[in-house]
Amino acid sequence: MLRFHVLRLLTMAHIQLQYQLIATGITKGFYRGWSLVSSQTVTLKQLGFPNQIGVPGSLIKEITALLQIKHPNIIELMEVVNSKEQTSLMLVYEFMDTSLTSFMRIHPKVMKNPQTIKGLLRQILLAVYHFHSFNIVHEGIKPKNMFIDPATNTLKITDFIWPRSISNSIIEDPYEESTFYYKAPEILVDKKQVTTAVDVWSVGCVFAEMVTGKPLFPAKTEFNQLAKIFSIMGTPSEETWPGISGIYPYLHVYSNCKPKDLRKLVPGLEPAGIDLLNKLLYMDPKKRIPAIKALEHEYFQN
Amino acid sequence: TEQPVLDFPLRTDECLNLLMEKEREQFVGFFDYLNKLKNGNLDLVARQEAVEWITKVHAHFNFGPLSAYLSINYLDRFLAIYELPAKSWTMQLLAIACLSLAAKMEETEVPLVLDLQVGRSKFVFEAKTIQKMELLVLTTLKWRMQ
Repeated sequence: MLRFHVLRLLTMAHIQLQYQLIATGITKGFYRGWSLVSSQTVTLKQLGFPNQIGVPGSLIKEITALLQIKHPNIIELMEVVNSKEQTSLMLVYEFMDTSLTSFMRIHPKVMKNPQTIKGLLRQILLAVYHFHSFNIVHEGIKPKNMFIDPATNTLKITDFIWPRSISNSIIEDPYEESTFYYKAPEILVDKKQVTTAVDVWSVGCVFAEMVTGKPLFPAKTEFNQLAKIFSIMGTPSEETWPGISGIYPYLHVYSNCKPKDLRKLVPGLEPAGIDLLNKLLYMDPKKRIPAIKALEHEYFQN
Repeated sequence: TEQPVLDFPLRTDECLNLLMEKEREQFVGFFDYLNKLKNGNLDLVARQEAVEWITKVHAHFNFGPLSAYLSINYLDRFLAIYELPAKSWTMQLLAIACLSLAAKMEETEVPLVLDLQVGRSKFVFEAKTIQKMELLVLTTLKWRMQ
């Protein structure tokens, strides 16, 4: 069984440094491991929790769901291993090492091909739709959490368990850094406004970034993220986003920006792509296109 | 009088069959377990006490029917695979862990594990101990908790 070998290796890791931290920038709590049984590289993530509340319920639900989720575009959670002292968990994932971020950097020519982008976006949407059909909101869609097999251009999204449930409470979110580029306006306004639509927004951001090679909303701090979004998508009003003043009474603080033309900001994207991008980045989450509908969009027809 | 645990309506036979199928699939070592219970290799009284304790606490917190079903499902599946040391406190600890896990899966408001220990229990456990037991149950059941 994989379990014992992983544990043994972990014990050895302290002595022999059998484990390297994954060197892709996302390092905290992540290890690269080698399973002696299946002779494959795995990604290991360690989770600890304080013992006042027992095992967090949200974590149980997520792991239960994620162990059932099998999808070609989602990195597989292979096993959950307890530490010897029963105070922490080790999650074992299939291993991939080229994130979309590095792929875009290493293969700028490949990314120039509109069909490549179309293929990748389709896979992202398929994965997101799969999460959503299990009622899981990913909440961390961004290029660093997507991995590509350069041989086949197969893309897989990681879940890497940090969604809301955990980051809310005790465990520090290892991804906090720059995640806010991809955060939907409604959760920047009010953390409680989480629906599946927040993932769709993030997909829109990734889509634009695949075309231009640069983040679409690169704010300097999370505090400025909302202003950055408004400056491009236009400052919302009760007309464009009914109910916004109820959840966010500070709208008047922002200067009143008109929406910019995405064709100019994302040059080189075909008209159908621009139309889809506009629908993915619809400010009002209730009117934002669901993943399944996005997959049926004209953009994917050729 | 005994209340049926499954008192929510099942729409069709097909639905029931599906549930039974799933249970059979999840219940590793079911027939051995029945034999163990029959031969007295497993303390039937202790199991019954655990089930009664679960039912009592379940009623105290007004939990829904599914969390009662799940707690007992976890308890039986665990006992079928895991050899608990024959001490009376182990079964009590297992019952707490199973109820706590089931409540976390099904209930919107879950009391702290410590507060689950209502009524006159013979043993009271620390949160740390209950958490370890929860993890042992989760691992033993291979995280198949639905």
